[in-house]
Amino acid sequence: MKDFGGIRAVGGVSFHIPKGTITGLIGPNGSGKTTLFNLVTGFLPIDEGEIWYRGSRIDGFKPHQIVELGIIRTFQNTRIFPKLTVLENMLVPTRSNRISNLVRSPQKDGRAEKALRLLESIGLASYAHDPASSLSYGQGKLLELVLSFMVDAEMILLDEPFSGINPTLQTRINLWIEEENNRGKEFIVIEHNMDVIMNICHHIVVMHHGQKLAEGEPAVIQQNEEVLEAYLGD
Amino acid sequence: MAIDVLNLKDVEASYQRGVKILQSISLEVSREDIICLIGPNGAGKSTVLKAIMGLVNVEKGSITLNGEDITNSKANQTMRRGVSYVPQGRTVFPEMTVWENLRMGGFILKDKQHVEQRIEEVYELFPFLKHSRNRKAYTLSGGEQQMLEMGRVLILDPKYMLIDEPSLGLAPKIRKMIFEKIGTLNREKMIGILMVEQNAVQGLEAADFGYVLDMGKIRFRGSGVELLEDERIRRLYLGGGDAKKEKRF
Repeated sequence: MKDFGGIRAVGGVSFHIPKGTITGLIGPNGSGKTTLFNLVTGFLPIDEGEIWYRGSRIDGFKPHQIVELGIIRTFQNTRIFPKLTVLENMLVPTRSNRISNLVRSPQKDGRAEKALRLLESIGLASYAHDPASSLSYGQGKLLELVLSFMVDAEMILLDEPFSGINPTLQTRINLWIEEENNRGKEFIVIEHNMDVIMNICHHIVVMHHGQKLAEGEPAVIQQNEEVLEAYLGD
Repeated sequence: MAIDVLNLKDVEASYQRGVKILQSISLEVSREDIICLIGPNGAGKSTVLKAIMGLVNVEKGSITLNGEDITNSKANQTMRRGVSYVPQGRTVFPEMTVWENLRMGGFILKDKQHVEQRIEEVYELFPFLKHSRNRKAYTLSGGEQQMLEMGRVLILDPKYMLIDEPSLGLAPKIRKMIFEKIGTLNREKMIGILMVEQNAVQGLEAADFGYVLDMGKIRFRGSGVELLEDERIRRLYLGGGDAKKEKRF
């Protein structure tokens, strides 16, 4: 549960993410989806309730402790260092903030190669040595997305990864998410693109006014009258 | 000479010398049109809008408004001539109220009474804004902020509106409503629309005419329906999916 100075952003929401799944988190603008991400990842403290991950209670953890557990997130509004190059940005994320990790050579441990490979696959390789500020809005979103693939994570939280991304790349990114999921990574995806959500998600949670409106398989959610009314439109 | 059109002829533009973003772009928007630009990320779609507004240097070619040359004119001058621009992402003033944001739309007008009059007209178009006039902009949801941004540029009574990804980050139901509002502005207010969209299917459905940009060049042009039905475009730019399926939301 989370209150912002009298405004209840998220009130008494309970759900369970089944192991090994891709879960969609959908709902109208302002329904509390990003707030939920902020609560899970320790960016905001919760006022009431509990959050559990693989047998441990994790509410109250700091963001870096959440990352050490293997939970990574992206941001709807990109968090990119504009003066670093695109490649340098790729080398920033790390699961552990120990000094030894920060000083190891990206050339030697293969991270530089991995970064270039990821950039290549989303069409940003030719920008690798340009400052990140030279990217367009959509390219920045793509960079934000592949940053999350640089860390060896168990669970990835994606906040509107497809907004501003052209449909052909969306299809490719979908395949990646499914591949990574087959290798055992779990995903929670906030997205307004229903094609994506209905295609790749095993499980969907619908938020409305800070509450959980519905939960279930895509086919069931698509038929839910309340969801149609609040979110999908006729 | 073409009358009452916004015309780009062989436009080349770049942010840095030697790195051409747009190469020989020619297109035309009349006040009766809704035109949609689609294409991959980094293709130059936003740059087309910025070139018209003088926010990026046009190195070759010309941009004319009703036959009058406006190439590399400053944004405020182009706005006075009747071209308004809604940039990408949320650009409302978050700490100002809805009404204050609308007043900022008339910043370059001296006659403040006229601005108030215009605000009333915008309220008629977007009753929601009147209802929320004393709310601070940051408390509005994504769709509401998009309406405010569109309302704000309407204060200048534009003849043309350039809109960069109007549906960005909007829930399906709201997205539909925003495209409907764009249609209304075009039909009832005779505002020519040039918009960039990544929700390519819905963008093209709402448009009379579309252009596909790739690597700074126009690769395809045609009516919205023609582009949607073109197999190559579907495969290369629309994700290869079934356009009809996507329509459902």
